[in-house]
Amino acid sequence: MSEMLTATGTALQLGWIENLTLVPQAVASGLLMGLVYGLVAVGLALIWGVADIVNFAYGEYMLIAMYVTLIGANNYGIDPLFMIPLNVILLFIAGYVTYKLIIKRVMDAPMLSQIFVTFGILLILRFGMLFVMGPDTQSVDKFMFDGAVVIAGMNFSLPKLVTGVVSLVTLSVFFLFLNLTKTGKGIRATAQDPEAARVMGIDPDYMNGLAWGIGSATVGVAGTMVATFFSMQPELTPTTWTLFAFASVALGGFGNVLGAVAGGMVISMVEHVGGVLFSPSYKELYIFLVFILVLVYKPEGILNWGE
Amino acid sequence: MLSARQRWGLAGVVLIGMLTVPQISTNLFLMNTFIYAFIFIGLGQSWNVIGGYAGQFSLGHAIMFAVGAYATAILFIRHGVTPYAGIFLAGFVAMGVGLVLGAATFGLRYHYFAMATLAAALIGKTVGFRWEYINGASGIEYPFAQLGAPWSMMFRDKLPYYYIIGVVALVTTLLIYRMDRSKLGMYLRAIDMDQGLARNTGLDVFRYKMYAMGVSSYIAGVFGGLYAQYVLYIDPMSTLRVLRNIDILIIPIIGGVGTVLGPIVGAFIFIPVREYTRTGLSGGYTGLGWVMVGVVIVLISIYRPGGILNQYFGRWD
Repeated sequence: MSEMLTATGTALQLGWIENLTLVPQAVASGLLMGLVYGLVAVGLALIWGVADIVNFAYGEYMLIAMYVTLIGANNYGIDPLFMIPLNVILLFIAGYVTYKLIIKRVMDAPMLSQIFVTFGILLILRFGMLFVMGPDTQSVDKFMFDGAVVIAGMNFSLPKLVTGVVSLVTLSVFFLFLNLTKTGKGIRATAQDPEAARVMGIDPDYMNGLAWGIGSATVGVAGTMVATFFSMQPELTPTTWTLFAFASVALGGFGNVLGAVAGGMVISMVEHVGGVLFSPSYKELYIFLVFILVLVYKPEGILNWGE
Repeated sequence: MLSARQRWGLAGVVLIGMLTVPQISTNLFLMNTFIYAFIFIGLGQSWNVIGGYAGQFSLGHAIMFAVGAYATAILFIRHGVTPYAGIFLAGFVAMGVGLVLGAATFGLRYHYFAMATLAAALIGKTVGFRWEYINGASGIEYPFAQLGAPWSMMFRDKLPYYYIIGVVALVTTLLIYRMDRSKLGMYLRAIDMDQGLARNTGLDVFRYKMYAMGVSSYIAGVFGGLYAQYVLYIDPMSTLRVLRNIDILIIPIIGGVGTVLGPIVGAFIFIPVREYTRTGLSGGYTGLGWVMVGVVIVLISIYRPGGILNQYFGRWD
């Protein structure tokens, strides 16, 4: 412990670590955004856990929700909060259709194809959106909860705060569904053992479709709310969020939905605290480093929770 | 399979074909398309070694490509090493990077390996934009004063590039053909089909994957250098962006993953289409060409996973 303190002290003097006083604020923001990252990651984990497919186009689905929110808010004056139900339905359909139309047909294909096909989807969605929305970075003009608020001496951006709350609520609903409803349990059963689930009368194909639908719907909620404080660009935005999702899921253990949330928390903390202690322009780098380190040293995830 | 005489015969035919095209037309656009096709044949062959033969779906090949490009440029511009040698030296630098990447990630199974290489690609991109040694986001520009000098591999015309890069692509293909028929090729295919089984029969899986990675990275580096010499300006955006990784693997998979001719087929389909749609679709960069590519990818994945040549005997899981 004392070595750690000495090391920190030396690092402080050398200027490697600065802004120690900003850390509590970073921790608070990190926790808040951790909920959001968790929500984003949970859908990926669900799809991975149930259908055993890694959706490399995941960020593109989030971007769809973001753009729909943008259009709703800027062109029609509908507040993002009210766009949530629309995006939930829209993204559920998008995910479900993706499964039925495309993914289902590569379930028995070489693994090469299973990965490759999601890149095809990525290209279609990303450049389709580029064509429709243009290459410029855009953002939502107005949100009913704009501004900032001070709680317990720390600054919180109101959109982020609301987003965090919505994420928490959505995550709760999600986990209640998974654990308490019959369908939810069916999904979990399929994730654990598709063959056994089939023997019990559960249709894995139906569950896969549901997983894709629900997984996409959760990211739809996330996208809707993130649009209130995050600007969007067809080529930059999806990559960023896909990677956040992947990193979170990697930390929590692939396919582990609870772990994905925990992973999201950790990723957010790494980003926020790392950004404050070290150089903020390398924020993304810390996340990618953590990601690759976890993959290489502990692919089953650091935070082996539940499931 | 082809006999040695038939092999040389085919190579001769291809060479003659290459020589005749410029006689018919040296239209700039045509030359440019061919040159990019040659570059991507090389990159496609490079990815194919590790992705098609060894079955390791690498999403990080742009790193080795970029390393080769930057190394060639820096060796020439800052240290006066002629690119004719620099390209081959840069290949070794790229090989080093690739081997490190491989060593770190080859313990991972299929999807995880893909993700780890993607993470590496992103780290490469993030670092590339900020690393002062390579000029960060501003990139490195070739000194135009050296255009046309005999040692600089910088030409005003496209024709010399056409020949140089074309020959290197041809030689690379021959090399891959040799590998395909060799023990290494056989071992890599075994690893692709069932790694555990291969290991159990005594095959040193890790070592052969590393061989594959070494060859693959070297080729990627060389073509990175050739690319740098052609475009005369490299920056992280063109060499390290995520889509570049995908560019590289689309070619061999669409053409025929795990085959010698696959990258050639893939490049001669993908590059012309890309070049024509880039300029043709209502001006400006609309990206509709990419949407079409995406559709092709989905269709190929579903209906013809082995690509056009469809001779894939790899992992069905």
